[in-house]
This record gives sequence, structure tokens and C-alpha cells, in this order.
Amino acid sequence: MLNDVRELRTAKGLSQQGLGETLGVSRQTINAIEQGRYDPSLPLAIRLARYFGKTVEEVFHAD
Amino acid sequence: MLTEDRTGASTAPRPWASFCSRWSVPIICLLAAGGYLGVFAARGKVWDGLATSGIMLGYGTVLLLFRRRSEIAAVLSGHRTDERRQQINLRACTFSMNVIAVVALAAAFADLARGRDTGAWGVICVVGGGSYLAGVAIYSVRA
Repeated sequence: MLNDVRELRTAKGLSQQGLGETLGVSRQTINAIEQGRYDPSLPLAIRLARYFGKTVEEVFHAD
Repeated sequence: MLTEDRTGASTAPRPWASFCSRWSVPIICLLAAGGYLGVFAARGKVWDGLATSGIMLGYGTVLLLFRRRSEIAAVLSGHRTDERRQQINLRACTFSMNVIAVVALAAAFADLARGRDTGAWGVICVVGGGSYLAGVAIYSVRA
């Protein structure tokens, strides 16, 4: 699924490793989400969105 | 280490889960190595025992050394605290079970066609099919 995780992460000056550690997932998982290879579970999507101060719909784009 | 993100969700693994995740596969490799050595030694084949236990110890050591660098090693070593790694493990298990089912069914039919008893292949088919049925029934109710 298309998303703005990479843009939001780089805007915060965070590495994939750093964001992964903050959210309790691996660096590879953050990379897979950013590339659209992996759709996170609803709890992780909500945690990601809240971390960036946005809603899930603002971070992830179904269309 | 306890970490807290802005959502308030704790991301720290439970100590027991963390210990199991980190050491279960190396311990299993160690036990398997000892088991192989013991069984082969009892049959008088000490060198075969040393070779097979060496393979198990080598496998465990490689996983232990590379689990931080390689995701494959991390999943194989049982370090599956991450939801995507859990999904990878589930898919790999499903794939592996499908391959085993196909091989067991083919071997069982081949044995039947030759006029033999299906033997161990038949047992694998019955146990595999039965456990799948039980799993579907249990998880349909619980999920």
C-alpha cells in the first residue's frame, strides 16, 4: 500500500532503525512498509500514524 | 529496556518471551547435537555422531552470530518478536507443510500402487490431515 512513511520519517530526521526501535519492529519491517511490500497490522498502522501526529488515512493511501 | 512511544504503547518484550526468543533455537540445536552424538555412539558410529552433531552445532552457531545482521537468520533463530517476521514464519511453515503433504501423499499412493502398506507415509498423512482439521476447528472458534 502506498504511504508517506518515508517522507514523514526523513522529515523528522529519523533512521529506519530508529523508527523501528521506537515502534518495536525491525529496520527491515520499516523498509518493507516504506516500499509498499508489507501492509502493517492495524495496531502498527495506528501507532505509526499517531507517532507522526496524523491519522491512518493521512499516512496510508488505499488508492 | 522499556521504551514508550508517543502512542503510550509499550514496545518492550516480556523477559520470558525475550529469553525464549533468543535462546530456544540454540538450545534445541545443542540438545539435538547431544542426541545425535548419543544415538550414534550407542550404535558404535562415533564419527557419524560427531559429524551430525557438528552440523547441528554449526547451524546453531551461524544463526546465533548472524541473527542481528540477517533477517533470515533472525527468523530461523526464533527471533520473531516483530509482526512481519511472525508473518514470514507463518508463511514459511505453510509452504513447508504443503510440500510435506504433497510428498507424503505421492509417496503413500506410490506405495499403494506397488501393493505395499503405506507405512510411515500413511501415518504422516493421517496425522497431518487430522491436525489440520483440528486446527481449523479450534481457530475458527477462537479467532
